[in-house]
Amino acid sequence: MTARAERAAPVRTRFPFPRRGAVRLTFGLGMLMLVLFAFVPAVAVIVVSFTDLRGLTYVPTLWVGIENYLDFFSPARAADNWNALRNTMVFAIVGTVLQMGFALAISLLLNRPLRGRNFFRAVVFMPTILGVTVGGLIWSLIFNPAGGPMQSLLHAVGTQSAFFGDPRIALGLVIFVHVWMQVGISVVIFLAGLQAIPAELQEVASIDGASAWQRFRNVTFPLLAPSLTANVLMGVVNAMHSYQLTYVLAGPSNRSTQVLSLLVYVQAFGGESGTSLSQSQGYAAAIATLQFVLVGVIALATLFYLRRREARL
Amino acid sequence: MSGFTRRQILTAGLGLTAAGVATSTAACSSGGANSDSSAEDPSGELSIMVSSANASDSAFEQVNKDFQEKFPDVTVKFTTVPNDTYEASLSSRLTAKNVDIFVAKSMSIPPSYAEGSEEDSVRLALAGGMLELTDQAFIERFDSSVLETITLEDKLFVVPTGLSYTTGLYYNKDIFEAGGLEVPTTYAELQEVLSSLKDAGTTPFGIGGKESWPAGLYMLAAVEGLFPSADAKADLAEKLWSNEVKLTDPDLVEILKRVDLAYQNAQDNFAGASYDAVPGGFASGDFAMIADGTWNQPVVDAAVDGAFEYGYFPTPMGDDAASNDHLTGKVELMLGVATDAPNQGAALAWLDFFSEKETYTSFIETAGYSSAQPDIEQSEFLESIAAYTEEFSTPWSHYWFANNKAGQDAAFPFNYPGVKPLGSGTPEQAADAAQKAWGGAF
Amino acid sequence: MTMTGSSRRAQTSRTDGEDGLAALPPPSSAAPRPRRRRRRAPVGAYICLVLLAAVFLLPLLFLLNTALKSDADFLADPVGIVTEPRLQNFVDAWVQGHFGSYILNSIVYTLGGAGIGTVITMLVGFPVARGYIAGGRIWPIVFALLLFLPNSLITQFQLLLRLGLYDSRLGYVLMVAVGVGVGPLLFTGFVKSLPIELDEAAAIDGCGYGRYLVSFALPLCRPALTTIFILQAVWIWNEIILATVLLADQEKFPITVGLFAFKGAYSNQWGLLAAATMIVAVPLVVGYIFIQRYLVNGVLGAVKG
Repeated sequence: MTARAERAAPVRTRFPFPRRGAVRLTFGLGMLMLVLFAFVPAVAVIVVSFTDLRGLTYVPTLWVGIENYLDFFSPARAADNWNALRNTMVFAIVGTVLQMGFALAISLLLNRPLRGRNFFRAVVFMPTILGVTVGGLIWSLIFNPAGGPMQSLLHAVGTQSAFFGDPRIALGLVIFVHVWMQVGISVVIFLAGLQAIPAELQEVASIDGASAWQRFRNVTFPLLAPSLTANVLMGVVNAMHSYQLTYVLAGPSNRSTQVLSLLVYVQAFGGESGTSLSQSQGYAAAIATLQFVLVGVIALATLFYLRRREARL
Repeated sequence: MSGFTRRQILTAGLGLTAAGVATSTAACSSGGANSDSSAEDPSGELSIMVSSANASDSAFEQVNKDFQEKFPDVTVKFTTVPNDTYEASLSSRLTAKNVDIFVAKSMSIPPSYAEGSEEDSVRLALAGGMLELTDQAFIERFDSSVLETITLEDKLFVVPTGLSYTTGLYYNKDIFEAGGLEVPTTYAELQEVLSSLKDAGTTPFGIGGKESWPAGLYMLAAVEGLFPSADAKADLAEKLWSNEVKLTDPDLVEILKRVDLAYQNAQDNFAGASYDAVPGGFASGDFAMIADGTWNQPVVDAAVDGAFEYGYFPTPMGDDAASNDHLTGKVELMLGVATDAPNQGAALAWLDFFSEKETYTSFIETAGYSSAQPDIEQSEFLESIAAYTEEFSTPWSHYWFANNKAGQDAAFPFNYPGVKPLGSGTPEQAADAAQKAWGGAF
Repeated sequence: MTMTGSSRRAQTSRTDGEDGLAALPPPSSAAPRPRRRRRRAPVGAYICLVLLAAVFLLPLLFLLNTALKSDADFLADPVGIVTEPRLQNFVDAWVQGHFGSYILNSIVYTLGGAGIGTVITMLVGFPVARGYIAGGRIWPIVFALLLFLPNSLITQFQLLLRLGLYDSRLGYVLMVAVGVGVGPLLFTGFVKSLPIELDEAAAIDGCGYGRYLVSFALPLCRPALTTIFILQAVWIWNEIILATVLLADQEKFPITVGLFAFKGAYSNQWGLLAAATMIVAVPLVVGYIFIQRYLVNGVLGAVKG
């Protein structure tokens, strides 16, 4: 398939410039930075997961082999881990689906030559600019159970809610805020993809008598596929790693919104005021490694699936 | 860029790295230039790090101000960190040898059956990471019975800033009077008071459920009521660890049932209410009682601002009056000195200054703590509860050491966060989940 | 042009240049009507736009509303429009919160970090895309790995500590600079769309690699680089956990940590808190209005390639 051929590894071409030294040096410097500050710590985390590092001076670190991993899979922890895993998956899948869905719809809307659409494009992207803390605070204010606007709205229809305190809807609310904050980036990427679709294709299709939905499904959507792949991949990976927003909105001790990354942070550095559970950072590193494997598997699976759909379309 | 050979680049790179390592190690080792002998006045920078709480923050700031006035050569860098991020920040700063005085979370060594469950601060102290303060002159100023509870292997590593009582209820005297209610002293009386309040249309309890731990105060009170003596609690802890009793035993499920009573009589949606918002609600008469500690009394006082009279009494979760006649307390923030402190001299001088009678008296007044030193004048409020605090006794949280290998449901181990509406189960279901999380670890 | 139902998803996606002509049909329409040029405003679309604006702007406006209330006002009426606006909250928040230095720090970290990151991306991505560097097959895999590295908070902290860069702005900037994420992958994709003849032509003219990058590749790649810069900048801007662990001095905190600590300290005083949040949000919105043009164009260019 041609698509696959395009994505083949870069072929080593003849270097046209007089001296190789420059490219080697700059590449080397860049790579050195990445290796030193990103890859080395990443590998080190995997190494740390086999120790009982506590992050305290004077307390020696011992090699404990796979004990941390065994602890993780012990039946006592099963409830916590399944909970975190489930929350992470729900967050990633539902969040990404909603994010893609809304982004697609919004970008279709904003692609039309409507008046003031640049303004609306800017508006949609703004939450991403505001950042997690600002976004989190804004929505904490809105979802304030002691009389915030949402509560007043609910009162008006006769119910009420504890919002982030209600274990049934807390995760849903977090997903909602997450989508609100992230949809802007996806919209921008989709818009770019949409604008790359030649107008003639649309016209041809409509001359042939295709309805709007058919045109979308058979012309627009397939050509959007690369943007969709990029977006979904970024969305899923982002969601699986994301915990800053959850942290700001619901705190680290909220079981119903505890995702894997948050578990890593809480276990490594504490965060549950009032408990006396004190894990080692080695254990936290083990969770981080497991999460890495999980994200890798899911990302690869998603990529594989989407690439195949792309090619088929 | 002229063409460097590969070897030249490599040597240059190695040279740079070597230089970098050399300078950084030099920088690290010269960091201790601030300390000086204790005979002279302290000078230089003093870094203090505490976990933040409204009242104690302002109290510390006042002490720092006075200290800097007395010793103008010292600059105090005072950082307060929210509880949730405190451990993270402390861990990094200790490792980086960046802090002099800090708050240690706990100073209790677990009994033999719970080996390996000690807190990080205990590990740190025993491994030599904290300065031993046993022979310091200022430590003598503190009450010996209090010091006993924070001694590790006959050594003292921290200075207790004060005491707070945890298992009591603030109550709105006006509301009680209006309803003709008396302060309840037994569980049965409490239930009556609750239903009278509800009948009169007042929400009995205000709970800040969002942070989870405020609801735990009811759990501590329940344990205190059902297992009032120190022996009973120590015994219970041991039996749980040896699995002689299970969390699903009816006696222990009863604890969760009593907590559930509190939940049922609390304000709507308290699971989302923030702890900091509760004193405001109490002040505006939204609830008749709030379970809070005496550390928060300055905040409650400021919120109420004289609108009505309020009092404090032990939460009567026990069946008979005798088990509800006392308040349990904890040692408040405990200040320790890092062995690698860049400015040990100033740190010790600060602690000395802190424990002087005058400084200490005004400190506990602003912070709302009860005194850890004998013969100190206390606030009116603390005098009013003196009858409940004659003997210093500690609550369940002092006797319980969580098992690091157990699941989160068994952290306390009575699973109050698992009970509706904080969690999703009945008391029995919550106890079940806790037992699974506990039993699976053995 | 007909539409099945009124859902936005079913609307046509018209590319630029044509007037928007579709009208909102009754929901029961089934058969496609022949195309006619009609000059009727697409009401449905505009309604959707207004809804969109509401969802995204109202929260911000509500924040502003809260920021103008005193605590008593807020307790009395948390939702209503403020009757006696007061700016005192802003003054208090600014004084108590060091927001000036927080904002400055965030800007330094973001511009510095994203800047260095973008440079790294270019230096590393260009040779790989062109095949100028040996080991051509593994580098794309390496770039892909960059996307989902494990959460290395613990070890990154230890690394900075041993380099003596703990609690230093430089250390933090370096650490966030390598968070290039999807950058290299995106960049290599873009570079492939640049004709290699350009390189060769420049080389024949005697241009060295370094000069070529700066004078030719850089301007050509600007759209992609802008996108990459912005993606990383947004991530750094939002970063709170690394900052908590790697920085100890309050003077060095970025906004995320500063605002969060402020929330911890004053969590009950919503007026003050909202004012603080606004202090942080407004420069962002203002700055954003200026750069958003580059953003859309940048991404357009990058994805087209």
